[in-house]
Amino acid sequence: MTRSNLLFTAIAVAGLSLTSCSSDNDDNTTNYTVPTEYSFERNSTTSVDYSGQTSRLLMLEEMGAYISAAAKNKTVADVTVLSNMYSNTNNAFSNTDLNTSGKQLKDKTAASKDYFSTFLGGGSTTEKLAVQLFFETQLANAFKASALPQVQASAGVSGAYLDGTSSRLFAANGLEPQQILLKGMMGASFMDQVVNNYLSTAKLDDAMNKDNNTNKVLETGSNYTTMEHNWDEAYGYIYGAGGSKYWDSYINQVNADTDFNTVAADIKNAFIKGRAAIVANDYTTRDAQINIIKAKLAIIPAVRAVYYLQEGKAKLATNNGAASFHALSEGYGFIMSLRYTNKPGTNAPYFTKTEVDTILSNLTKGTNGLWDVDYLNANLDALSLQIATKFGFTVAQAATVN
Amino acid sequence: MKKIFFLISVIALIAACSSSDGETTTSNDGYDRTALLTHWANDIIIPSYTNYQTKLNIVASNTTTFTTTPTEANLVVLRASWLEAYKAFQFVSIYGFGKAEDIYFKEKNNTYPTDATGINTNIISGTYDFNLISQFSKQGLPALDYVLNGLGTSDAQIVAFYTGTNAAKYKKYLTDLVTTLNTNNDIVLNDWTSYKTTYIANNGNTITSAVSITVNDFIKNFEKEVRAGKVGIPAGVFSGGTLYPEKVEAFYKKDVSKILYNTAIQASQDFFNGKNFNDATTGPGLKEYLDNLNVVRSGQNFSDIINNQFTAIYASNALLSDNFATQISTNNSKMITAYDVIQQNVVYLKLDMMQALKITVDYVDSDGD
Repeated sequence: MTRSNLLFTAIAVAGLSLTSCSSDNDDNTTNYTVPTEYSFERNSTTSVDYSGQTSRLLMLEEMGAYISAAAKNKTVADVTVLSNMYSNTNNAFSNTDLNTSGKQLKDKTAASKDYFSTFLGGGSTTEKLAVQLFFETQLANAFKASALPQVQASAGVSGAYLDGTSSRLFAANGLEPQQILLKGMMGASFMDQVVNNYLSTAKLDDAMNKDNNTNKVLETGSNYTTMEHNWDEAYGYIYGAGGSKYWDSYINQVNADTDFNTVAADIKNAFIKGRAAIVANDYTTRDAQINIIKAKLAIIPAVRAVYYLQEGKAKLATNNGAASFHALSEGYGFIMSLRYTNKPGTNAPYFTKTEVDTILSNLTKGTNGLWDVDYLNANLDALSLQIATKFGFTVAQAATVN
Repeated sequence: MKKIFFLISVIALIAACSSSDGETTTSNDGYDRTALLTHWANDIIIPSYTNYQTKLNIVASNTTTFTTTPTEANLVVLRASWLEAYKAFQFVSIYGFGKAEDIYFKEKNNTYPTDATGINTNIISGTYDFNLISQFSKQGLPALDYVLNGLGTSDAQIVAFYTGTNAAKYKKYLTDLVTTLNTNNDIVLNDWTSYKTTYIANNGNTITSAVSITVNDFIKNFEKEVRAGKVGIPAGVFSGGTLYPEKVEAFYKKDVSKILYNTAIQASQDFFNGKNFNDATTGPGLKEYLDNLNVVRSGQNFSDIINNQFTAIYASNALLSDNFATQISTNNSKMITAYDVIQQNVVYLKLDMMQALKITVDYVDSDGD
């Protein structure tokens, strides 16, 4: 099956060498235009496609909304429904397009080629399955916290909690399953897929991809080469849900701070330039953009993690600390995401899995987890500093958006 | 069809560049590919098929004895010879090209989980064409597993099918299964007599050269059949943790899945080391090829790293039950650990070794969207 594709390719290659032997070497790697938007066409039709990524972003959104609604309306966040949504089985989504999309979040959780197939960055199948189980546990925690009649969350007791005007569900240790799910999946799925899968040169150049892209051999029935499509899929995990969701949103929130005010343009432009480079067979430029995206994208969870740890710290004295749990849970999820970053040139994360696990464990090590405000008050600064230092910014820079 | 395409492309390539460089046929890495292919064909591949033929002949002979005299004792003898044949198959499973590819040899020999319901239907109807794709899951070694081990919970119960009302039908199906296995292997083995010359002569370094095809099939077998089929799929690696203990190899015999897995690992390691099938002598092979190119990592021969990983695979397997279905149901984490250990060697072979040997992986993972 695949071998016949190769033979097809061989013909294309043979055809090419027929022409290349009769003409001089022409270097077409520098002479191309980089558009200002992520818009690419072939034969007057778009060659960009990331519908699968859009589906997954919307799936996570609906899962988050379902848990929020359970807290708001005092209904049960049914773990069966959530679990079905996670693996997209039994038509669990109200958006029926998602049910029939053929996509799911679970099989793209800790599932990148570089980390969880090639085992770079310390990854393994054991870890992958543990991460998937971790998210299933969050779903179960949301279920438990929403059980009727909903009780008020307190130290060691999971339940609902009115945080200002928002009702939230907390596990017994104060962590908010909905936020762990959303921010954690941004890392374990979206970040991992972007930097360790679709922007992996092992993935982009897999098998005959490079030859096929150079010769513009399109995927059957499609208007793109495999390499172009891989790049689009990376793009889609950031920008693929109509904008302002997940990483796109948090890139902009970080960018709103003058300390980091080029990061949004840097990432977006690198995506555009890299895609143009692929069209032009300029793999050197492509690889340079990969490094830019990997480095800049890693900054986002780092800054947001510190930001939320500091926001949480400021609220520790309010309502026995419960007012801080939402922020700290967001921080927890962003810290999780750090494990899936990819430091350019290393094919490994900025923080190892062990380091990330230690930070997370230190964050929740107080009696009854986050409910131990004295423990948190004594430790949040050190954890913030540890993260900020690794990425070369200060805690103050991340804590205040100005 | 495929061959014609191939021919066209090669001719085009030669025609295009005949005056400049002959890069399609010569390799400049200094390794003698002719000797490599000759050794593979003469000392490994053909002896492996010959051995499988020998083992299948014994199965055939024991089948005649059993169908003539269906006793528990004869069943035990037949079953033992089936297991020997199953082990022998692991050595030929590596070579899914040439005639083996044309006749779906691997699919006909070892598609599992086998379709027990379909087999029962076949037995009663007595009408089936084993050449049809829809019949791949109703024949071969897994189907034999079912009719020799899975019809009842005791040997007496199983023998009863061969002595009862439908005895003639059961005997016929058993005989047809065994005959088909023999016939298919004979076809492939006989073809090698003439194919060998073509195979050895195709000694270039292009993607359609014999070295590239053989190495690709070796790795594909290691990745798909050995790693995924025997461990990953039943242990839920590809199903988000949903376990499929019933998808282990030789499910009905139950206590041989580890034996077959270890045998397949051994077959893979032997091929890597260029070990003769019939004795301990080693010759040209991937190990020698890597050493010849002086492929070293962290001061260590890369071939040693791969062999050390094979050792690690055996070590992790030693912690598993002989019966993978039981292992999966009782403590799947050990299966996952074993999976990770073999996956590491997939990485070494498929990425690092292929890169070092400048061989292109000719198949893609179907994990995109």
